[in-house]
Amino acid sequence: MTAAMTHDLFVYDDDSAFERHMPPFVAEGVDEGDAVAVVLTAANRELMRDALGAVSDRVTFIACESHYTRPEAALADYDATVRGYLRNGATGIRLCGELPDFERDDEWDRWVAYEAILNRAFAGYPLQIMCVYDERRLPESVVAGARTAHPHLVGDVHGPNPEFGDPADVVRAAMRRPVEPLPELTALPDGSDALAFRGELRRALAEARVPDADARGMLTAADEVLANAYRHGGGTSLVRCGRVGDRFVCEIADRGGGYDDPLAGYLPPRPHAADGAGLWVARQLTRDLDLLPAPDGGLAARLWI
Amino acid sequence: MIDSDFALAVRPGEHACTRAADASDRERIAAAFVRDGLDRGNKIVYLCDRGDVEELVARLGAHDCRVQQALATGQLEVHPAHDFYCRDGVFDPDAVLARWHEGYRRARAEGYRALSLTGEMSSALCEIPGIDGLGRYEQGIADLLRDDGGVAFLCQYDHGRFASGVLAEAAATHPVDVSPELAPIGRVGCLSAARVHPGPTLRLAGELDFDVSDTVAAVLDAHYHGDLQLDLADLRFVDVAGMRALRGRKGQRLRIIAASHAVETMVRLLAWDSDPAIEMPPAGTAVAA
Repeated sequence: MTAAMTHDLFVYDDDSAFERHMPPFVAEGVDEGDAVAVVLTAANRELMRDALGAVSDRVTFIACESHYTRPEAALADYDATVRGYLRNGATGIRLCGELPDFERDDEWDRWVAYEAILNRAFAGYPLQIMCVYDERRLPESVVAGARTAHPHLVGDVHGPNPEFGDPADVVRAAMRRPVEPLPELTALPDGSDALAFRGELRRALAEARVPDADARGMLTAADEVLANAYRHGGGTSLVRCGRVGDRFVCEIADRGGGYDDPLAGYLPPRPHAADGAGLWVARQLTRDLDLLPAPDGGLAARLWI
Repeated sequence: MIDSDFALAVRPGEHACTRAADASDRERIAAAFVRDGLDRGNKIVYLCDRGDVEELVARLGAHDCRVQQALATGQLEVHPAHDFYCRDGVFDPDAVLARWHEGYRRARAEGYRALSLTGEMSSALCEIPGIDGLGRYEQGIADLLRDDGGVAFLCQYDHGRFASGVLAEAAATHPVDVSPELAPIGRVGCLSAARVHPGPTLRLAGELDFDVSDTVAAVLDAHYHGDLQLDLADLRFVDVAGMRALRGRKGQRLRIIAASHAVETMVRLLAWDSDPAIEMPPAGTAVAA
């Protein structure tokens, strides 16, 4: 059992290093009575099973490509998994995971941000996370990013990670994207009547033929952002929505003093937390949620479905 | 125009009463009830206990443009309550109940899906001979609802006109009670609430968002103490602020006996499903509200 969360990085480039370091981490967890899950590629699941022998029956094996679909979903899944283990009486939890392959650079960037977010998202849980990076398979820039997102190193080099950076800085750097003006969006009413706003947005979603489940998600997500704009941002300065290519966008700009918390909406809510769950919900229900500086100094949230 | 800002916390097959003191509160509930009946393809019978039936029709029409058409086709009937209840000058519960049964059969024969009945219970009714049989009458309605599927019955008690004993009895004989302390919830956004017996359970219908969450929290704070049992199957929209309003005092237990998809989604996203202070129905029993 562990008192607090650990988040270790294991970088390797041959299978014997994997076999030397990873199965013992898993086996030790089983020994200590921890709940243990491994989220790996097919090849590494095979290596792990072979090394563990009969012990592997007490380990949950998950295919990494089915778990790591998008960072928001992976955070929610891990959160639910961890809460489930704890509810069922686990006193310690060990996860050993590696990212599958992604195609686009911006996807990889988001997973680097995800690694940084983990440090905050699960702080306080009796959870040991071991992240496996195969240098032969993963892009060099991703491994370099991972080196800034893990506080501790495991392997032939072992100990505190000197490259570890403030998670907020890592997320900010990883998620920096050019801002498109999106002139094709059309204005909606200012949202001072939330019920009427949802009515208008419902109509726009139906006109754009957005599927029902996506439309419901967008409606709730936009409502949460609107609530923030009125509760914390002095109301809205511009509300727009419409189709952009094959996606639907709703943009809500507020009149506040701006906001710079790159982790906003990425930390799973705790049952009695007073605030902050709105953006979490909005991120969970949309494909992307960009927080941008609004032209007049406020905050603009762009929700994509 | 159809006033979409009205929610209704009464379902088919239920016997409900509203005891609101404020005429505009009762009117909102009655208009929502009429609209619900029209939406369902029901025959609607409205017993009007005021001097001016025309005025009532005009007011209902202002909330829903389909009202005139429904009157013309016979889908909506408005009758003076006094004449309906006292055909022979006396209130005879059994005779009135027999007329309701007959009305249901006729509505079904005319092709309507069911019957929505609502009656204003106010001034003149208090003085008619035989009104002491009101309790027996209300009891008989329960049998009617059991026998004739899909009938909904809304009794509109004018809080100012009845003695408190009659109102208490009314509350006791109606399983669904849009009770006076819930009236503020009906005035904001598109939201309605009712107490459902036995339980008692608080039922919310409509949209519970950050605009109305403070109102709900204030009503709960003033009138609901201790553990809270909730029926949220008719909540078609809810956001984080709305969910938080239900939390009430710290440590208060919540028992959610029915949940819409919107509520289920929010419970999952907020991790309420692992909170020991919250009891949920089994997953997968959500209702598409």
